[in-house]
Amino acid sequence: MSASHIIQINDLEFGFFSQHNGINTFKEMLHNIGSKNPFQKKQVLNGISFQVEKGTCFAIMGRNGCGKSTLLRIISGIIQADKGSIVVNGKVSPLLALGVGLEPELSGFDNIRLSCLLTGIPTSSLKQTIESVKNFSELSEQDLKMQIKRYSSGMMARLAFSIALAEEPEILIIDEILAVGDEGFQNKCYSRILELKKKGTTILFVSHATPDIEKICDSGILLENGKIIFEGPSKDLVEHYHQLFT
Amino acid sequence: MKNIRVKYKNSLLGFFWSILNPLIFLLIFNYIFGKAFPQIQNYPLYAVTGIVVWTLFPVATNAIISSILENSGILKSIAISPTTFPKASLVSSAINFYLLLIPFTAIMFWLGLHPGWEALLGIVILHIYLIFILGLGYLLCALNVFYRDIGLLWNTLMPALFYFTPIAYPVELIPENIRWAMKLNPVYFFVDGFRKCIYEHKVPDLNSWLMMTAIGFGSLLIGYLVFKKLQKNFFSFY
Repeated sequence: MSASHIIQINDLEFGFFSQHNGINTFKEMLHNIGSKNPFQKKQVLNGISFQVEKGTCFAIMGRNGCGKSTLLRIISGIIQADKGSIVVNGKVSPLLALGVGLEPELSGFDNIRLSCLLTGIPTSSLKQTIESVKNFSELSEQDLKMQIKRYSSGMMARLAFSIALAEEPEILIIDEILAVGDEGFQNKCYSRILELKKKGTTILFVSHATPDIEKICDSGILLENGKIIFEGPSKDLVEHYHQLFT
Repeated sequence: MKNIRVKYKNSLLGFFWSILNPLIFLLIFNYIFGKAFPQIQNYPLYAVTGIVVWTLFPVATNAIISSILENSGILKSIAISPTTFPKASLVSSAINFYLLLIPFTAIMFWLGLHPGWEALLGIVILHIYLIFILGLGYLLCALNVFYRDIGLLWNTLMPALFYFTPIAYPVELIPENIRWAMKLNPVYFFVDGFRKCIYEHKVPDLNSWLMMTAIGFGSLLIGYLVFKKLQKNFFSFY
């Protein structure tokens, strides 16, 4: 492996368990005793191999449900792959999709603290982190004191994205999180992403907005049925993506 | 910490709710069973020692069982060991329990408690009890991810286990020939041990120490191993 590759993935395979016969409860399982294994594997990723160079922005595209988020979760170490090797050299940002990973009953401030605690940010820099999240998200003191179950989806995205950015991770994962932000916030995010990229942060970018992909990303992959059907520079990638739907 | 805050965020009486439940039991037992067991000296104190030990059990096991599913959002977005959440639930239940012990120690004094040095052993027993609860919680929590009715079933079993444990009645009430069945109930050993220390001012015999330690660490070992074995597949079931 060369030093410039921050992520290297080889022949990755992953499948979910799905329950056939609709077995969801222990009671139903007792009824089905004697039948075969109640859990079946549904293959999601099948023989994925690619590398990402340090300091680049890498796009992952594909239809809904093609395994993009699953792939990101494997990269960030949330789930384990069934087969294949994966090497990640760097700290990965928390993967905050819309509202997932935020606690609805807690206030914005408490959620920032909780995320810091869970991702291992030392308490000494907590104050600074809160301040930077507050500044970047442009949420008012009053908003942040509110329980986030009362947030709009845009506010949620602002908070989630600001938390993910707060600690300047070596690998930043953006999973369709920008789609609901307003124009001002989106622009702010893009300039921040480019700024981080200049500093050497590697970015994994999932989006269906093809102009954004062309604007930000250098290269990427296109997934279909758990396989990579195209890998290359972002301009060609977008073209292949369009062809999927024609 | 987060658990405690979330739990009482919306309730005005906050912590006092968790005192209310055992207090109600204590009142009921006193007025209804108080006269039924004249052979027990100072029945209220006898009952309260049992109730205190029991109170932790349903609260803590339920908190641990639901901990993984309640925090599935976090587990989906941050790479963190799933064992964190059962542990956090145990710690928050334990803190809750320590706080609960303050008013209940006062109640015990008021009911005529004269603690000897054995009371310190009672505290040791409570900690072995916590280890037992964590182990059991690990096991049930892991299974509950796959079959949600484990948690529901557990709640249904709870009252049965409560009356199966000599909390309100003396062990002697159970006929000699089926008293062995009592020993199938792990909570019995902790209630009995704690009561010996606090109420009878006796040191539990070696046998019951061995039992408690074996139950405590045995359950932790089994629960932890099962949890670790199954946690890889949790993800498909959130």
